[in-house]
Amino acid sequence: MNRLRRRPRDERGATTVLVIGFAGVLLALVVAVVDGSAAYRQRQSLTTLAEGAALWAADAGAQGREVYLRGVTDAPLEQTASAARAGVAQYLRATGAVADHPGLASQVRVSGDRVEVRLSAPADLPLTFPGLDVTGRVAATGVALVRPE
Amino acid sequence: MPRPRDDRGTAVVEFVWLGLLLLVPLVYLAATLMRVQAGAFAADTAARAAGRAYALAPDDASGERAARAAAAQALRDQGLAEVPVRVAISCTPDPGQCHQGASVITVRIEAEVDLPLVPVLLGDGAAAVAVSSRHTVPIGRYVAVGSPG
Repeated sequence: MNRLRRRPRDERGATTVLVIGFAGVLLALVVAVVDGSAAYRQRQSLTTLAEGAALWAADAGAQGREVYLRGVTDAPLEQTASAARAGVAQYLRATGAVADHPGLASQVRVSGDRVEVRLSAPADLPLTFPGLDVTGRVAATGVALVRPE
Repeated sequence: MPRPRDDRGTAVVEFVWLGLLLLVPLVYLAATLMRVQAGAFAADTAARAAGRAYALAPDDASGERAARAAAAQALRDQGLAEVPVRVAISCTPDPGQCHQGASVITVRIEAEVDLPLVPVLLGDGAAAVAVSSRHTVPIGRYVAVGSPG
């Protein structure tokens, strides 16, 4: 007992803590990188979808009353808001977007000759930090207009 | 008086065995993930480029050639020139005529990424991860009458 007390402090095991710490940092970095690129890919996918939906909707919206009344000139065709909105919904249904991105929300803004589609979906992160609840949404925007040539 | 136990050298021993046990697999995991991610990004870019090339081509046959060339170029740009890749193009509503109005083209890229540091002895593609990507692009509803396709 007496001898134990006089023994100088033992340093064995100190490196273990250090290495485990390194491993923890590395693991956290891996999680961050994997999640970051998953979110990036999801945004790419949403951008594609938004661009396609905007194009499709602009085509659909350019078939409405406004074009018939004002005629076709060199200017971009006037959009019919209701037809454009219906076009977005139809495109998203046809491409199976809702199945690919659960919780997909779309927002369509039609102003004159422009159709703007904004899509957002909850971020689908493959890895999570234990005990850390990260939620967020990924959003993308696509704009289209129809210009007769 | 007994000499206190010397701690010199124990750090090295701990570092070596813990490093082998923890850090080496973790670094390998990170390297593998990076490689797979590079493959996934490359597949995304390739699908995007191929879809665009296909949609811009005047007809289906030249579109197919352009799409394959674009996909191969995109993969080469990401340092994946050697990987086996499959480009599948389909379209709705008429799969035989993708360049007519109102058609929606879907390009699917499937590639295989080899894992790093797997000995050649195990054979080619013994340890490979499949990456894939899908890109959907609508052809405009207004296509010039008389255009081939």
